[in-house]
Amino acid sequence: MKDLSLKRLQFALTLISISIIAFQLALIQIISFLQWYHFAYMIISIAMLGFGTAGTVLSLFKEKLLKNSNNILPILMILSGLTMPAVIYLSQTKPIRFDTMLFFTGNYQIVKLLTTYILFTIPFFFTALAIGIIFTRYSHSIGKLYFSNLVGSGLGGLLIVVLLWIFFPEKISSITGLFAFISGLVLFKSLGKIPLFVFIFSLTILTITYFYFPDLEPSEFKIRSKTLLLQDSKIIYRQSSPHGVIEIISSPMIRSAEGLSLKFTGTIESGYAILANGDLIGNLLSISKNDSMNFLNFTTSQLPFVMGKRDKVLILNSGSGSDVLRSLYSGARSVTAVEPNSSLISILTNKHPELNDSVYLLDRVMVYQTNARSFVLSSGEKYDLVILPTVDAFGGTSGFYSLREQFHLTREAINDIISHLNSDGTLMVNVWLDYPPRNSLKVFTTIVEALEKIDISQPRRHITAIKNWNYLTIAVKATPITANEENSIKKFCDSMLFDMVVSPNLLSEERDRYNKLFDDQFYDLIDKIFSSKNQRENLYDDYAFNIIPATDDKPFFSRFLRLKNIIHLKEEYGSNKIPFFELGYILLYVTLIQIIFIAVVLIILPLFKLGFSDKKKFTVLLYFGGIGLAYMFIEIIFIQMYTLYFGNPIYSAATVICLMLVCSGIGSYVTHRFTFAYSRMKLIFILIVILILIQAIFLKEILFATIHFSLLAKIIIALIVIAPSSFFMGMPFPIGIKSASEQAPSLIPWAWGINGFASVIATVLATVLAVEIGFTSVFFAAAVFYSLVLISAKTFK
Amino acid sequence: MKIFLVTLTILVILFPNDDPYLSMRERMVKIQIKNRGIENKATLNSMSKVERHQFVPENLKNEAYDDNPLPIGFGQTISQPYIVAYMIAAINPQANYKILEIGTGSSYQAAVLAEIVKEVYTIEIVEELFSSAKKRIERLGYKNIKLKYADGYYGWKEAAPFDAIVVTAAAEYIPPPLLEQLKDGGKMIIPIGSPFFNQNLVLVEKSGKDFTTESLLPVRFVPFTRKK
Repeated sequence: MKDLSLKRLQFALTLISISIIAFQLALIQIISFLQWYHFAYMIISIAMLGFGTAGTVLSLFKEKLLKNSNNILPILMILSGLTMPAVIYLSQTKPIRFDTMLFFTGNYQIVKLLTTYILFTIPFFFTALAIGIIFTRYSHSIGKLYFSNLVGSGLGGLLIVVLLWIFFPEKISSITGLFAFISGLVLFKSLGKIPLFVFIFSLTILTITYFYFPDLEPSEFKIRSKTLLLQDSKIIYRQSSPHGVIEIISSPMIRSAEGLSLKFTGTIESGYAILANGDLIGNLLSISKNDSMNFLNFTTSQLPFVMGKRDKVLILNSGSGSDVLRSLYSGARSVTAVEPNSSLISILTNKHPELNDSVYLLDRVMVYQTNARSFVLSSGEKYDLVILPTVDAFGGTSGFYSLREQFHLTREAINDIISHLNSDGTLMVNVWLDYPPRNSLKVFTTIVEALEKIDISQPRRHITAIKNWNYLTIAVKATPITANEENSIKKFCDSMLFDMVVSPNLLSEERDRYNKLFDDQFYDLIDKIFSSKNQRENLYDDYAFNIIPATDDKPFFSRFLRLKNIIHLKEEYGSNKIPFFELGYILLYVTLIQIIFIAVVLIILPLFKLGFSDKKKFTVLLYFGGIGLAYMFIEIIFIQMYTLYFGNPIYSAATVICLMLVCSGIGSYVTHRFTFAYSRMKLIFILIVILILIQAIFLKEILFATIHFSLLAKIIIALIVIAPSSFFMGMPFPIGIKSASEQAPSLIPWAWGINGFASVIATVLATVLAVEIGFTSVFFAAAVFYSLVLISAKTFK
Repeated sequence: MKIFLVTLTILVILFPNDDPYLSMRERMVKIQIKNRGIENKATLNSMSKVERHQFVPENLKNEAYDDNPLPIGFGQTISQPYIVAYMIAAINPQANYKILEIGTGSSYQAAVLAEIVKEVYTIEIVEELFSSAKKRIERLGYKNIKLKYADGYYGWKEAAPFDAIVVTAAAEYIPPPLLEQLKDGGKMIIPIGSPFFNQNLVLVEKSGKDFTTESLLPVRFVPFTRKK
């Protein structure tokens, strides 16, 4: 059979790689809109096992597939493209569509979920099978081919950011499908002809799916679904963005008044609800309805304004602007609003016809589009009041955010914020009261430890907290709370029927006057936090939940569940309630177990044909598994660390993926020109390990020191940091394939499969390590894996 | 013996057991409610009488008496039986009470209340749920339940004041009109938390122009896993 032209192969490979990466990221957005992010994470992780599965299939049917590869390759690519919109459509049909919230209530959702897994695996499988066939058949040019694969993947990461600004996610599947379709056409052309039927049929399907794709319907339990059921509700604005699908819904029944006093007898005006991927960001209040803002005076969030005048206010993650409005209403002369969601800022500052009284349009308000922590680290200003976003959500989040990095809620963040306060300045944070107490306690431990770090020996003198029946407001000062301030707070609480929870001179009988708790447990726990370092640390060990402050190395504030306490919680609440404590965390481990199980089965399967003995197989397993794990560890950790640096998770992911993969692609290309003796391989691996260790030790310092630089400067710095290690990290795979092609060519498909499985496992495992041990541990794990790979390569040379 | 069996068979055919769910309901009241400390007789009697399976979707009838909430569509749930009982017992309903319920949902809670009190006024904000609840209540013959499709924020001014107000879905804040429509000495009960993990309730009591709240915990949490 005639070889296909290398240039056409490379071009097709680039296109299909662009397609599948863009599709993967679009799929995350789609599932996040339909369900919640961590279910998206789980489903995509399983679906990507399609990569490894393709390797398994290729191992089992290698001869047949290679014999007909010229015809099979374009068909696989086109099938990949056609199935991209098709699987999304099918997953939303009634027999298959599942709902996260019903999953643990015994509604036979598991069958639907398994079907969804299989469906979403299909496009990944077809793509990976095509790539695997190319790598196997043309292993002599693996350096150039892997270069195309990596560069294409990097470009796919960039492309999706652009596409998400222009198209809604469900449409993107047809566009990514088109890329895959064209890649197939390129190879057909290489054969001399494009089958007319295939061309017309495929183009028709992609066109129909683009123009006639039904609207996505999110879970009935999402805020969006419930809000649209309200009378006279309508979506007045809808925009796609890398932050998610942003929607504004109006209804005369949408109201919001967190922490409201029972003494308020006025009216709460209706407003707009702003949502991202179907979840509530906040309610938009109208500045023109000034008279109806009086209810703001009757909320616990008035606490800092009761304590003193606040001329200059900083609001972090300002969202819909309700805290901006509150600050202005309470007399602030200037308000700095920091909001990472550029789409939201754009909507609220671009004079949307129905939103012409957005608070962001006022002269006294300065708006910055970046994340909270990045702003604080870059800013030299000091403020009378800094307001953090509310911790947890109304109704609880069922632990959906347990894996989300929250760099604004780490101990270091609290210190940074306090350093930006004027002498009488105050930091305010609101917390929805939860039971069992978790969020509130962790906020207290974080603040107390942050204050102790700046040598404040009596944190209780610097903190005050008040609550109503479901909302807690905490205020922290760098200087002690004065007697006047304390009196003002007492008067305010008495008039509003709020309870003081923490205050320098608070008596225990003053705590539970208007809003009685079931027992004193909550207060006892708070008292332990304030009492002494020893008592606090004992509490950390003994308490059923993790309330140790998050740090910059482990910025997962909402991670409360402890695996060792699951049995205790099961006895208290029953096993069907456990997932709702912390669904994200539970799903992480469920995903990991599922992936490992499936991977092990599918890695072992080809051995029934290839045989179980032979030392080379163990070497292949260790080598390709090790580099798959290690590479993805670094990629995941880079994405998470650069999120803080760039102030935006989407741009961080796009930048990191693009830079890493392109640099690795160049490294792969370079291998084409050389043969590799073990000594040269050894040098490459040693360089990789050294560069990783340097990054493990110094990366955080470099990023923090340059976080205030301009965006262009930051991209250059990221390139300087990422490029060297990524360049060398692109080499082991093609070197390994080349060696395998000389010594054990029948193992190449198996190696491709192992590498695919390892990459998927690494995605989840990196998160587990980061959550349990910290980011630095992931770097060290990657260094260990590369070292082990080097040792294994000795037997494979 | 033969005559006896034939007679028995004839009797079973002529007088079939009208309520195949009766034993499930009795078990629910005994194990899920009474054994967990709910002693309010009116509540227990009412929960024994009201056929919960009539208030759930057809495909969930066999799960109607399970110890958990069930979805009823439109993002809503019928609460776990224990929570329903707990909420009702907390307001200690009397025969002469007039009660306002915000969030009719399946109308199960309204039906349980209707067995105890004089009048139940219930408001539902979702039209489809309102329509199905209305039909159900009419079919089951509850004459002392009045339903309204409206925004619960405003309560039911024409029927106010109320001896008690039951809010069935977690609320971010308590609408001032509801507090206004509560009688002096009246009680309001509200859940906190997600529908599948609703373990807390808050009881609001009105005294003149003042209010106190008390958090009630149907399931009390033991915070420490090691004994000191």
